Amino acid sequence: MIIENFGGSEEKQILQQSAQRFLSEEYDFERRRSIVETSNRRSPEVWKSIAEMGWTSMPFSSNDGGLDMGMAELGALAEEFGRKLVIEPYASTVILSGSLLAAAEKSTRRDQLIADIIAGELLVTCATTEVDSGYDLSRVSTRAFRSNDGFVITGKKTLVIDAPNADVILIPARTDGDATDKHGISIFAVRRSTSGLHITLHPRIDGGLAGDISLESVTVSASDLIGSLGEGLELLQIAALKTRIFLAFEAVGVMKTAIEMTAEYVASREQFGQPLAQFQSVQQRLADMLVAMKRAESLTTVAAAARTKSRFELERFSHAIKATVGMSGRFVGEQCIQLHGGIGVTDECMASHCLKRLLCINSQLGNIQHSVKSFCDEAST
Amino acid sequence: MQFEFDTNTERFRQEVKEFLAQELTQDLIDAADLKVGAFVEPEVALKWQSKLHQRGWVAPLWPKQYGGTGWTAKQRFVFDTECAVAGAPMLAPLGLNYMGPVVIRFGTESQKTQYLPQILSGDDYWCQGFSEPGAGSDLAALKCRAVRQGDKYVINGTKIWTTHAHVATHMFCLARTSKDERRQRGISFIAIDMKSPGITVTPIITAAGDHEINQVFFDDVEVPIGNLIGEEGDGWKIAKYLLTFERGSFIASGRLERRAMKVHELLDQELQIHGPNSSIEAYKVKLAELEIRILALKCFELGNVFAMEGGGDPGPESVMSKLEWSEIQQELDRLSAEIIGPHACYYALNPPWFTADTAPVGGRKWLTSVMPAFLNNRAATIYGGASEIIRGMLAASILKGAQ
Repeated sequence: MIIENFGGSEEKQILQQSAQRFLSEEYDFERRRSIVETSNRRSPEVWKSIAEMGWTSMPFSSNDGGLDMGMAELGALAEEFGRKLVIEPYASTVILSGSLLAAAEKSTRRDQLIADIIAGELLVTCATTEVDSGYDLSRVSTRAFRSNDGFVITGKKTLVIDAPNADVILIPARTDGDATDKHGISIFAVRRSTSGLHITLHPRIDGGLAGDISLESVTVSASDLIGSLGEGLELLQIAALKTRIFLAFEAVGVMKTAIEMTAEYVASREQFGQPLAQFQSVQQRLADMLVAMKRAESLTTVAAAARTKSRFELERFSHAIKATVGMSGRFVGEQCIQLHGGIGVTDECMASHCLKRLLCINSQLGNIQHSVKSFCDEAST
Repeated sequence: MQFEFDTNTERFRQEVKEFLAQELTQDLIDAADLKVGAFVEPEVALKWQSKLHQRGWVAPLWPKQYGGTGWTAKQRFVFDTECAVAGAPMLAPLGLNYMGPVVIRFGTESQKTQYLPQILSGDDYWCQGFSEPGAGSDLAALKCRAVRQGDKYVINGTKIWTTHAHVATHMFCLARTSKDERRQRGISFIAIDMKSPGITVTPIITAAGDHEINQVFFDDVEVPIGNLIGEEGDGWKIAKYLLTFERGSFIASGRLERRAMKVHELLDQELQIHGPNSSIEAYKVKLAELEIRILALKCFELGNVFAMEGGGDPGPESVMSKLEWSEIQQELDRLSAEIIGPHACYYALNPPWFTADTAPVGGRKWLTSVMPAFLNNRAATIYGGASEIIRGMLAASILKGAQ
């Protein structure tokens, strides 16, 4: 991996500052709460602003009408989202679906989807999980059969992040092979309103939504195929890789907020006639929280500055990052609650929401055990 | 996982690799891998030092005019990493990394001429006189006294945990030169010739059964006043400089990567002996977890490297790397001890363990050093800033922002 531009560009700093300004004005914890309490658990107004500031176009190439920004800039944005526990479907639409679409060969449908995402007019998610798939992207049982002028899709997807709010869902389905084959997976862009597609809504612990999707003879046209027939796994892997790293930056932002609010709390809360911060056991715990966060931040900082031609190397690095973020995030979130005492376990206090967002991030696209195992197994391949 | 830099730095990496291929012999590698104490045995480290000295690569932390390498922070990172991963012995740091930079910063011209070339060549071997029986983490409680009498200091007191005092030619020492001020004041930084009359070095045998550390007693030891470094009373300031000097420039990840490789070898040996075995498979995942922590530390060190490359300071959080490497080291030791199963009660009788004639136990080549290293490395989280002290420093840096 080649390290360049450590610490990032001027563009990154400008972006970071405008994100900080916008979110501190428009997305304080009370505003977030009111958003999470609406039925869709998101805010169309906030999304409109996100698009107006150009954030929906960041990762796309200039050929696709995007801003050609890399992980340094995306990471800076993700960290600011994390700091404020932003619940908007940015990662699912712009990063997960966006990276998948960007990596696919050009087609009218693909190009239009990207243009609509950039314009802020379309929410998209990608159905990466089935009931028995775990984190194995190649384990796809949903099938797509050819019909006259298109495909008919049947199968089930589970806990698809942001699915109830998505206008379009990218559905991996088998056009060939059995459930575990590396080849034979094709990706279809399916409108949520398509007949035969049903979503069972699930609330997520972090305040957002997920959905189980059942597809009963859902008819799509040939033009809804994204990328080459049967070669969808590659696209899924690229999308998952970028999203893992994006979520890691976001988790670092959440951890920073958790540490800051804990420090402020223990400095002001008095027990036994003195601030909690005077107790060494509290200080040592706080230091451990910092160390845990720094492990994750050190990795994401290098991820932002590194470039490599080796997908394998980057995959492996992303597993290391995701594993660290999982371990550090859970620890920091738990200790944030612990040091807040009773108030920390309440819904009213942001501490519990930090932990919940961190746990959600851990559960997506590879939790601790899966990431460590992948890092370990890939060493010997 | 390897990180590459610009073409110039990568060309330099190739030079380092070629040098290592040429000069780093198997006996040196084995001795370094089987090291069980904080330092490599002096005869091994000095042999490697002389090779580096010939090449002009012995003092990466010194400015070029004093015989340093004049390398960039990135070059130092590359050099330390390549050496460590190839299995090169660690050089004794007290002269090269502590006394040298202190003399360069605070010493007089004649002190520079007197000490620096001898440190580079390895002709002088330094030990550090900081801790005392009553002054461990609370260093400012030290009592050792230097009383000025004409053109001499007369030193009385004792220093403890003095690594390699029994082979050192010199000691840099913190001693009280005045009484009645705040604890940190009145301390001076003095160089002492270990051959001076009145010095007694008593071995302290460690938990692993070997002799690396000592207690040193001073009984009316006379030292020329020319051995004072800096001004009288500057000792605390100099000690702080010395401790922060290495902060951020000490690269530990390469050495930990090497240790992790050795743990892999242990695992592979056990797998060969026992065949595929579920409990051993579980160790693989545990090791991967530690490798990820090492990778995170490496990335943290890279952050410090780039901060220094830009002429900046790595900041107060850089003490974190001491905390991390020492705890990761201990985790690797624990894992090794688990992997060798029943052999974890084995304890070699004849230290040092680096000698080629140490018989492999039960056909296991790397086993001999596992338990002695485990036991001695318990000190890693105690010396050079105990973990509790470092956590206190880190907490203070967080709380400063909150108040």
